[in-house]
Amino acid sequence: MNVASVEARLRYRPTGDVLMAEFAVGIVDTEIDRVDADTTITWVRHPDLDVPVMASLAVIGARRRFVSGAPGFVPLAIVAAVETMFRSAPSDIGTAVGVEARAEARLAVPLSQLARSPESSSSPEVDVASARSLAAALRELKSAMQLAVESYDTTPVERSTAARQFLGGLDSMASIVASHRTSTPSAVSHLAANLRGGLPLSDHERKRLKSTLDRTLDPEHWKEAALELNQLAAVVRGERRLDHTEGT
Amino acid sequence: MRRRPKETIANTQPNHRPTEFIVHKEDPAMTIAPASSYPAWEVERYIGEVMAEATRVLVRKHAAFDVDDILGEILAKLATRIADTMDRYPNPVVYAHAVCGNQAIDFVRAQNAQRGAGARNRRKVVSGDAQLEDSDSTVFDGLVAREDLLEDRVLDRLETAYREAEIALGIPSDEWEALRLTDMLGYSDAEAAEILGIARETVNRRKNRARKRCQELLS
Repeated sequence: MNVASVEARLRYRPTGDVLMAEFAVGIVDTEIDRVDADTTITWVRHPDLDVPVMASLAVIGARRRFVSGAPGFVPLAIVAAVETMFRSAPSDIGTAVGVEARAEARLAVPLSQLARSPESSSSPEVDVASARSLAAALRELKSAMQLAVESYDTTPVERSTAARQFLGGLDSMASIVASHRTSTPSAVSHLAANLRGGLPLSDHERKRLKSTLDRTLDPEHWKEAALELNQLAAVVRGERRLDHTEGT
Repeated sequence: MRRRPKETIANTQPNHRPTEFIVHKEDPAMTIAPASSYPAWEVERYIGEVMAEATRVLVRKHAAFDVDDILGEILAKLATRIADTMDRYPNPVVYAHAVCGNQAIDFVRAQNAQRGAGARNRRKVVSGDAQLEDSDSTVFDGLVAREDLLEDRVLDRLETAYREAEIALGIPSDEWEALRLTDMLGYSDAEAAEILGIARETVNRRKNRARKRCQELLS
């Protein structure tokens, strides 16, 4: 391995869809960037470069995020290896398969690719009040929908499974938002994947909810998102009707 | 050390070819115990969310591969009593917060013990992987089992006592939750506030109200 490249160690766990990468660049002046709640990057100073270089990377919901191409903060040199790990690791982590299954790789990465880029800057932490109000709105919507779902018990099994996954996801996202106070793409994409039949929502309300959840990806919109979620909860409880011009 | 089945895969990518590529497949010892009360998809979702949240919490303080090792320990613990855990902590994010602190402390202590012994070569260290005599278990398995048993007993007794108080006095659920997180599970008021998404002062107020009700019952 020449001076211009460093060793990278990669690990991928299908359980939790967690990708970890470590680069052998030393540990001088460590600085941590949280791109969002699901992505953490550690930077260090390196004698050969003027800008900080990536020492480690942790991505939650990695496989889903790579579907539409590798995120900008991932060094190009590891993309092919990461995608091979996704394909090789068992995707079914159910009760029958060992949950400790994982894939590992080692490779050389050009040092220049680890230099800090604008895509990897930290997103600001939201103020406590906004995080709290979004978490409360998510829980409010969950309670309203749970009550409505439980009131009809003739739903086909697979539809009620999606509904339960969605309701559990709302609860989890509320807790993540309250504790980390920044956006969580993995929780939003999990909710979007389960936003289908079996939920007490019309097509229009579903679209509204989808766009509101997408809006939570930018913490600057959390206040409006919380308001819209509260309105949707009121609609689900039958206390008001959704204005078709709202939020469009 | 448990032996896991491995499969080495040759990578066909022309550039940045990995020098090593291993897939650890299922380990029979790490298979999740059947949880008859929960469907497989729910167990899978629960474990996935515990792992994801544990990673979010741990990467703040630990190196990436240390985090991965701690995740392995959390999985091992979860695998043996998944149904119990899901009953006790319906929200996987809350469970992840509860388990992360202890598991990380255990991991750091174990590392320090190993380093100390290696440097001075004086202290006798019994490896956690050492096999117990006349048994298939390791020293670590034995210690974990004893620790889990003690923790379960203490929690069960406390849970019963608090449940009785809750029923007898009609403690509102929000006060009960504040008391449970702080007095029972050992969270600070600030941590409980973060979990519940309310102010620290509110947690303190609710906890004190719940304590007062308990004292009235006992007097």
